[in-house]
Amino acid sequence: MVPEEFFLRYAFPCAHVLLETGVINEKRYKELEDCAKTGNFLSRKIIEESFPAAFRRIKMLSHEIGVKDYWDMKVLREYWYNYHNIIIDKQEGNYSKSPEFFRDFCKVHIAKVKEILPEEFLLVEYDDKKRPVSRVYVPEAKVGDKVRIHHAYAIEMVD
Amino acid sequence: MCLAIPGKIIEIKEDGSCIVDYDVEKREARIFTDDIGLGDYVIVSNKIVVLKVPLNQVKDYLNMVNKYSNGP
Repeated sequence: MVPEEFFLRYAFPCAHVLLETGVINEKRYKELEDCAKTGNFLSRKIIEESFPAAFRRIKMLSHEIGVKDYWDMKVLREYWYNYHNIIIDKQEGNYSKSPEFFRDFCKVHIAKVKEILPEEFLLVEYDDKKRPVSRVYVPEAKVGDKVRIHHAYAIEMVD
Repeated sequence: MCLAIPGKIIEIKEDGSCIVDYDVEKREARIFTDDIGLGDYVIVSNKIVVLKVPLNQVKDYLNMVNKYSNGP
């Protein structure tokens, strides 16, 4: 998977609010969705413009861990697997106004597949919580497998 | 940060689907978990109820969403 697709799989669930608040238009939303779902090419410039807050933090992170290229997969993985959750736990920026249940929804969790549901959904469990998440990115997931989840999506399989 | 607009469940049907009220419109969604009931505020994705807003956080969440939709 190329870095653009990897970033957008995690970030795309947040894109609808950019659409609703007018930061991006319908056409851009479809382009972001296509890149997340099919890996269709989208320039880094367009992706960075669409998610300015995330890239401000990713640049800080790449500096902190001493990797020059902030599009390096090492940086992007560290961002989505750890750094992004830490920012939410610290309640930085707009997260300070967000209630606890929603901060939890915004975090990336490792969850166990409990059930394959209709409509391309999975029922997953983490921290004694059960949630339905879309399985479009992990069609191969079976009961007992572990997946990383963000919002209403299973993003990728965990080895 | 991102947010999702919550809706209120105003009807639950026998087939496991429900009607979610968003003030401006009503939409149908399916329920897969047993913690969801009539009157709950929920978040829906791809026509599936994916999260319940806990009762004690509904007010805070609606405030946040309203503030955000009026301009960040």
